Amino acid sequence: MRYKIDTIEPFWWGLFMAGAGVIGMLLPIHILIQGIAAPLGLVNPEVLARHVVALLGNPIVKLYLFVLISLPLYHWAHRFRYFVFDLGLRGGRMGIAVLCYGAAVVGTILAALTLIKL
Amino acid sequence: MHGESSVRRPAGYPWHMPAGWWLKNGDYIRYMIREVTAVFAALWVVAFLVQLAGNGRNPAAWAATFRSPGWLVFSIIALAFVLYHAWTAFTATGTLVHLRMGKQVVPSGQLNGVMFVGWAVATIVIGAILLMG
Repeated sequence: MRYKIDTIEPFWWGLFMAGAGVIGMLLPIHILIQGIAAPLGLVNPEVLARHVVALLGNPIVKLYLFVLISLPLYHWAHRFRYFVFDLGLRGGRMGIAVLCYGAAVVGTILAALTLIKL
Repeated sequence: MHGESSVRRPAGYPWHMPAGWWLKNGDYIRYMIREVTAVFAALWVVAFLVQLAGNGRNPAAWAATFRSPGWLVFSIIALAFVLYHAWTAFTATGTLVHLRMGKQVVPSGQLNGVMFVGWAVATIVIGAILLMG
């Protein structure tokens, strides 16, 4: 069998690295404020809710949220694909890749549709 | 043919490791924990997307989401994994990136520092926008 070089790998790897940057740089403060400070009452949930609703009217914020939501999905897809291989799952590599990247693509489409409708 | 070498090799990588190889060494365990961080990051953004779809522009619905104890617990767990991802990514930057400024090689510690400064700036800007509206 001939050894075929995976020419699409750099494309997924690029999205994977971009997602890594988004997760590291942008996600922690969102989780901290929206997921921890507000539920604990350190930030008033009603005031934060009004701010979030007001921000959702801005197209630039929507574009930012599209990046914030979609790129981590590609990071997960690429990493999880190799994670299951590391765990010893040897078969079905193509199927796993299609499922992982496919889920990320579906998530990207849903994010775009949701943000457009807002 | 473009995209194929002329060397004949077996399909895929030969696998010689037992399934529990990563449990034998603390470094391997930390490596696998780092791999799992992506799962929690993805779950959090998916949950956020579900909130966006469900709450829309309804402030009362968003306030109810922000008061949810389940959301708090999940976010605490997710933040721990995401911060581990951030720390390991930023401290590895100087090892992964070889950058020259003229003839001088930028020290790895400076590259790591740039990542942390960028993180701090992004955190302050996003935090201010979220809190001030």
